[in-house]
Amino acid sequence: MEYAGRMIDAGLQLLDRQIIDVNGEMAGNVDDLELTFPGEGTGPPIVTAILAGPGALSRRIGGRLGSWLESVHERLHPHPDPGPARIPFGVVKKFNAAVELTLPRAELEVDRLEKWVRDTIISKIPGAENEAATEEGG
Amino acid sequence: MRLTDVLGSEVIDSTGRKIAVVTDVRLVQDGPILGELGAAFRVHGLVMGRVSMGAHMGFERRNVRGPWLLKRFFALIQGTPHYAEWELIRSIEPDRVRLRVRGEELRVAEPPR
Repeated sequence: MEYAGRMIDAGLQLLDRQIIDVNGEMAGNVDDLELTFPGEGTGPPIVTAILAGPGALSRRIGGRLGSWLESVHERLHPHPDPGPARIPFGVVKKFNAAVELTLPRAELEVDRLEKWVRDTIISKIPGAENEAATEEGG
Repeated sequence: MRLTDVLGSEVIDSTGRKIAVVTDVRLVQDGPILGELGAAFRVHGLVMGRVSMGAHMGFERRNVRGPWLLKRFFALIQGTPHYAEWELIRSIEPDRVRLRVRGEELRVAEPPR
């Protein structure tokens, strides 16, 4: 059977690649891919999202270290069943050495744990507010 | 399903024999339009080798350049990579992929086009 489209090996050419947001900032790594079967459930699955962060990495690592990483991810996360950070494949602009996105990092799920840690833990440490003000003031 | 659910899975042929492990998943860009990238990538088939260790470095592949010593080492431990198109896959189970054909019927994996 002949195919017109480009072919890639996902493990070799996508996994572990750096993710770059629309502003050129680093937004994590490709730790896994979400494969979704089409509605009828008969055809081959389609890549629908990039999975990133500890929620994706923990399953890859496996064993005790993976379980520990997953439990830390769950405890530090505001949602009871957080799952991995999901970046829809539709926001991928292109990929070669890195995966480039059409969105800023702040709009991605990969930023949610960092935001939660900053707002819930770091901001409550005495002096955190002053430090933030100093940074903003230059 | 996740990509890493399939990577490293053992491959069982139609006679029930374990013949390889999944070392990579080959994708082809001919699915429905998803966004700026264009057509979605769908699974075309599975690349298989003797062991999964080092497979993502790609040294055992003909189209990947690298130090000859590493290429030789990984080629030795990986064996000749084989390929099964999606149509040859009967089922994907936890840590196991079952084929519709015998291992001898699989073709040698060529680099992706």
